[in-house]
Amino acid sequence: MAEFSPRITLFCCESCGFPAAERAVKQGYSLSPECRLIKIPCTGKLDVLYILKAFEAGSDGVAIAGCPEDACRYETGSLRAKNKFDKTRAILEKIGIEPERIKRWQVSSSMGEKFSRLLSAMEEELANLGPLFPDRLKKRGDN
Amino acid sequence: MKSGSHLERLLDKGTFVVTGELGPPKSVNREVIERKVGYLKGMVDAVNITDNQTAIARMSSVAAGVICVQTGLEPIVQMVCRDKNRLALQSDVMGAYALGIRNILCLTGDHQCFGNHPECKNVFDLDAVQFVQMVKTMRDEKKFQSGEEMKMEPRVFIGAAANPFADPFEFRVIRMEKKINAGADFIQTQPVFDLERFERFMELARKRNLHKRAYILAGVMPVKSVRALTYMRDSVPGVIIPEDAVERMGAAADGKEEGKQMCIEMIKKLKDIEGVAGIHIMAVEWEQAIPEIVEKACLLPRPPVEAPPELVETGD
Amino acid sequence: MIVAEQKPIEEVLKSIEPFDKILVLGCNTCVAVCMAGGEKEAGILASMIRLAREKAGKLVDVLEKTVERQCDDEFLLAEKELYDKVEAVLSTACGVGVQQLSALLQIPVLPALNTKFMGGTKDHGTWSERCSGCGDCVLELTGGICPVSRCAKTLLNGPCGGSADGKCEVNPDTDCAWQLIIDRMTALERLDKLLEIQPAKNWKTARDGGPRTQTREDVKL
Repeated sequence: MAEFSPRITLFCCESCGFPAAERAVKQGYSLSPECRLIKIPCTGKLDVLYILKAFEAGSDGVAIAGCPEDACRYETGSLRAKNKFDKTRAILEKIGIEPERIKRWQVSSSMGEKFSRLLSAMEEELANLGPLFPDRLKKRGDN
Repeated sequence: MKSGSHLERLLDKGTFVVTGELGPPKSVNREVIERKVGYLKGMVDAVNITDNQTAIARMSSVAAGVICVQTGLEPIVQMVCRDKNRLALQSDVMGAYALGIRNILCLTGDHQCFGNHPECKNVFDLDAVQFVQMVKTMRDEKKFQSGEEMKMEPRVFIGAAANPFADPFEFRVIRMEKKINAGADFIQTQPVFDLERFERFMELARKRNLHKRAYILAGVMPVKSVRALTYMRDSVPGVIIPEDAVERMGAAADGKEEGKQMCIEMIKKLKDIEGVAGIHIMAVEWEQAIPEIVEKACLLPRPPVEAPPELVETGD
Repeated sequence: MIVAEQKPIEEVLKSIEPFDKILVLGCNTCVAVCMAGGEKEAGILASMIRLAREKAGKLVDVLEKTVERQCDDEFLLAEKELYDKVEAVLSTACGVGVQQLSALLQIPVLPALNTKFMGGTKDHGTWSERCSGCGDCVLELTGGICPVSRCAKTLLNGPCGGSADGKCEVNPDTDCAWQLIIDRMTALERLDKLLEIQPAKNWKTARDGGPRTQTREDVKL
């Protein structure tokens, strides 16, 4: 098999996760073209459905990059995100998908280095796991 | 005389009665009942036959009661509303009477979640108060619950239970009063470990004159070990075990001896409470302990069983 | 509202196993409020099914739609063209909705939920049974607390011997309905009402009398 580059959807909070990603890039981190960053006002707004839709749309992994739990500007956003994350992990397990395909990170806006480290590790882990739907990989060149 | 049962006649005469408890076997073995009757005969005036107690399927209380009658000990047949609707209960009351049973204890029944068939459907068509009322209507008005008349009525002595140790405390006396208003001739209480609470219960009962309207039998239970005692305290709903009882059992060298001793002391104290007409000893799977307890509590000899008075049968 | 919960996904997947094209049909009334089968939950379920089936190598085409109420034909009939496109409908309505739709279609209508009880919201994420539809309401006698639905033994004349510290013997998380009734009647200064014996209940008006139908001639067209 040719080298597999996993497709990752990153749901990033606009206050922490997204600036951390921007910082990582400024610091020289090279974001894989298979990574899609989606800026959301708060990871607390994330819903189980959005995460599942990301997998349906072809992601091999999903990461939720939010604020540290005690530093959410909406107070409970990061905790809500944790609930959704736990619930989604449980769903993935039940439907036969490796729960490792979803990650939740707590990064503040200044943590560019942490962001790049976590993303690299995730890419490596997913590369080892292989594509979520191998049959789709053949068609990936089309889109 | 409502039923002419031995129990009724003794209570009527003012005798301080003693009743025991006998759990039918989880099998078809009638010898189990005969053996247990052997321990109890001459020691108690009548014996409660439990009805699928704690929702565990056992030989029917009516059948076991009949074996008791045949073996020469008067049964108080328990019936619970959990497993039977008004049709089945009335049918069992009639059948029990026809087979020589003269005392029936009307109970709600433990919830099936505690038993060995927790997935079963329960009935609870009636509650215990309505059950008492139904049996009284059968006996005194010769009518079924539906109002339809019957030709020959079950002349049974009607019992009900009271639990002074469940909540809310003040309502416990009211609930006993409802059962007496419904037609209960006698009441048996859950086992007393908390004497102080039982005394308050009896005080409230006397205030409402309930001890004059029905015979109240105080329950006692000999316990074999501190483990059994703490299990009751922690896991059996509606039981209160005072801390000093646990400490005393815990400190005892011989749990069984101490358990019997505590039971004997409790009986002696209960006997002195105004309005307590007798003692109900619940020695669950420990019927062998009853002779010693009854003897040491100075309750022997028990009055002899006399032939029942002729009841005038009035129909078919 | 009617309170329901989603069946285990394994059970749902098994029920739709023979089909390659299904419609997940949500219901936006009771089951949406109790977060079991509204538009959002139907969407998540549809997504789960697609992912699970693709992962298992047996692709399935899942259509999604949510109607206002599945217990009324008019809402169901409005989606008629969707039913023609699929081999089965997976309904996230209560048992009523499943049957209502099933009566209209020639294809299987499968339940995605277990329907549990008629209840109210206790707090966010908790619903409690409040009514069992016995057809002869006793709330006037019991201070607005229903012993038929809320007492484990449906007692009508006071608490059983298992009431302790205000809780039911069957479940320590459940309030003893009779403790609540007594407290309420005490507060209303109507405790004396509870001394009256409530006679045997007439269960004919309940399910025991057979399946029930209600007809209102005055509202018929």
